[in-house]
Amino acid sequence: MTPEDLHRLIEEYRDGVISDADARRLADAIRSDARVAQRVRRELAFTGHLGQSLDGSDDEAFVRSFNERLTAERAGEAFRVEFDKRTSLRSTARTRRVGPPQTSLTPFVIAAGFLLAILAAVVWQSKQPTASPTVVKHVPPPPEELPKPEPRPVPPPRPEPPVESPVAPKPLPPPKPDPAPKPEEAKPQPVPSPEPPKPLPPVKPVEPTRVVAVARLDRIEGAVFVGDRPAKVEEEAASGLRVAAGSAHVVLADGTRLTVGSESAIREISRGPKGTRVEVALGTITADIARQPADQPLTFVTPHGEARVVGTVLRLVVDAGSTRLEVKEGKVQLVRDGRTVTVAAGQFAVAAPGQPMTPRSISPDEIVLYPHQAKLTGPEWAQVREPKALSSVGVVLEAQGTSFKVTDFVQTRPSYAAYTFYAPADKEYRIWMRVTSHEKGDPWLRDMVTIEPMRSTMNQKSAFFGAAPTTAWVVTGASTTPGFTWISSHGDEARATVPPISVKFNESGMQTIRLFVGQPNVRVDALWLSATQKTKPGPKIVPPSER
Amino acid sequence: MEERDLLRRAQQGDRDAFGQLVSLYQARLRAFVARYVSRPDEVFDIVQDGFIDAMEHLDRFDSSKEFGPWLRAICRNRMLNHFRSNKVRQSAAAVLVDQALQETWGAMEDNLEDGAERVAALRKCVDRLEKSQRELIEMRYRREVPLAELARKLGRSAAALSMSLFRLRAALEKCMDRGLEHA
Repeated sequence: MTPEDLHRLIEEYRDGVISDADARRLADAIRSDARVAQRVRRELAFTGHLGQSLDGSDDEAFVRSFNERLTAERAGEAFRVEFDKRTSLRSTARTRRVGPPQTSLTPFVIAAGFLLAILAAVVWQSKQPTASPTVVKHVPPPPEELPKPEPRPVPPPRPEPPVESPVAPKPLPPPKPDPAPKPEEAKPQPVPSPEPPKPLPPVKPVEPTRVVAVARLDRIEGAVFVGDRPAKVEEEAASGLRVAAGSAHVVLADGTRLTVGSESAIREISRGPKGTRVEVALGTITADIARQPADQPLTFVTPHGEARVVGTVLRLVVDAGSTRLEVKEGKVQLVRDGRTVTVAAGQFAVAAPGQPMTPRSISPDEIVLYPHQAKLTGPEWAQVREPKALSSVGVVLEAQGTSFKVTDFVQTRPSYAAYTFYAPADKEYRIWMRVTSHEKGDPWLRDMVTIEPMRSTMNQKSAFFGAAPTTAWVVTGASTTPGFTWISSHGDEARATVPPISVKFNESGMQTIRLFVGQPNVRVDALWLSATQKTKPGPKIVPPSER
Repeated sequence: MEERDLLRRAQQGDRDAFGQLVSLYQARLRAFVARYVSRPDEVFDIVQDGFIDAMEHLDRFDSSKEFGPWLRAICRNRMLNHFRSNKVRQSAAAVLVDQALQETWGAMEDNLEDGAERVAALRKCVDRLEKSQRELIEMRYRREVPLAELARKLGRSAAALSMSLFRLRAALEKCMDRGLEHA
């Protein structure tokens, strides 16, 4: 093997693209030939030191970053504690009577200012005229594509430090299994700060009745608890079901299926003469509801009100400030502050203060996200005035610079712009970004933005991240065209050898796309997710929703 | 302030004192880790993780001993853990090479000063590069732009680019060795 060959193999190894055959050849050579081993070690050490010579001059930056990381990790820990407090549920009898309303909670309900009542109007009148207590219509219980925890970059177990100056390396302990996956928990990734824990509003007591196996855990994935202990498949989960990460599939006695998503908590499931009650404290519940007797509806109680249904397929997403109702089959009336809208199959509506309760398509072809909709975390992006911005608000995102490198795992990065929006899982969207680089000069230093559609599958993998399990993509070429232009994978079509990027979300519902600064001096206007725009839009094209 | 004083204050919970210790040792530790881990971002993380471990366990440190070797041992353990957990994100092929390399490493107890001197010498050499060479080295070894991506950006073949880097590195290595001899 010539030195040049060896160098090429090492470079491929470092990029994670070395072939199996070459890796075997290189590994064998390292083991069998001390000179090769020495040469490879020397090359790698030189590469490392070269990287440090380019990177390691700024002591202050390292110390500053270290301090920021400490702060961010503490914030992450605080979030977890807060989440646990918020969803912590007293361990109670498996089925118990719902307690009387606590008077101290009443002011909360009043102060909240919006009692959401989702009155079931429903549904299927033409279907299943008889009120049978058994399942009359089942959407096939889909093997839900569960929200998977975001992959964490290299989560090593914390090694024990030596007590004294060591003489020889410690033998490695057997690898510890990763802790139960908690998405985005370990790295300094600021999570949107939750509201302070809010108590559930009082609920009317349900008359006691003999209840047997109200709710059974059919399938669990991830960190699922009943009360304070890990849940088991087949056990009853009528009280205190909490999904820290992953999901739990619950089957009620009548065949209704509930899928409880990540970071969700069901306070109690109970059954009585007036029907079945599911008290949702927080999170995402997907329900495939068996036909209920007309006078015994299934009632979801959320902090914002109630939804009573006698049979449909819906999903409720309950967070601190809103309840979103998605209807897959049938119709549901959504009522808040005296206004009623009918949400039909294929639509969703959100009940929240200051937000129009307009039913919209669950499966739109075009989704356009504007800079003023982005939530900025950290200092790396800023919203600035831009007369050429597409939206009437007239602002764009401007990259302020970053101490991170473009190849850094985005999960480790504490500063980003995040867009939250609804999108279905059944469509593939091409991603177009309206972008420009507003300064002249070194094109290396002004043309990159990293985009990360979370909980999704991309049509291709970015070469910047090797084999790392990430959907992040480095959009390059912002500087190749003067003025704002739409780009996808690469802005310079003459050099673009990869197709535009597109995304399919793993699960219908609220999605998040994050943008990370690659290099300063880049301005980002709209993001356009399109199921129809397959080719690069001209610079003056305006997305359909803005026409 | 003397290192001993800083240590004493840090052991009493003084974050600023620990920050000064971080300043004092970070370059040496990064150079040490960089000998085994070539990606600057990974080096950065490992050393930061190491400092966090050190801070959390500072009460266990015997202050009659040298602080540097203690930190080095923490970072070494961090590195070993990094390689073990790195398997989840690297290709299976790359892991084969990892394993072979780790078998040849020995005790990993380099003198902390050696690596720092090499980095310092290399920095002087890099500063003398022409702008285009510096940019190339910067993109490849600091920003870690994959070779294929870099070749695409530059409109060159990956093989030709690999050869250019090979020659550039050889020149830098010679320059570094000369610098170390004259130091």
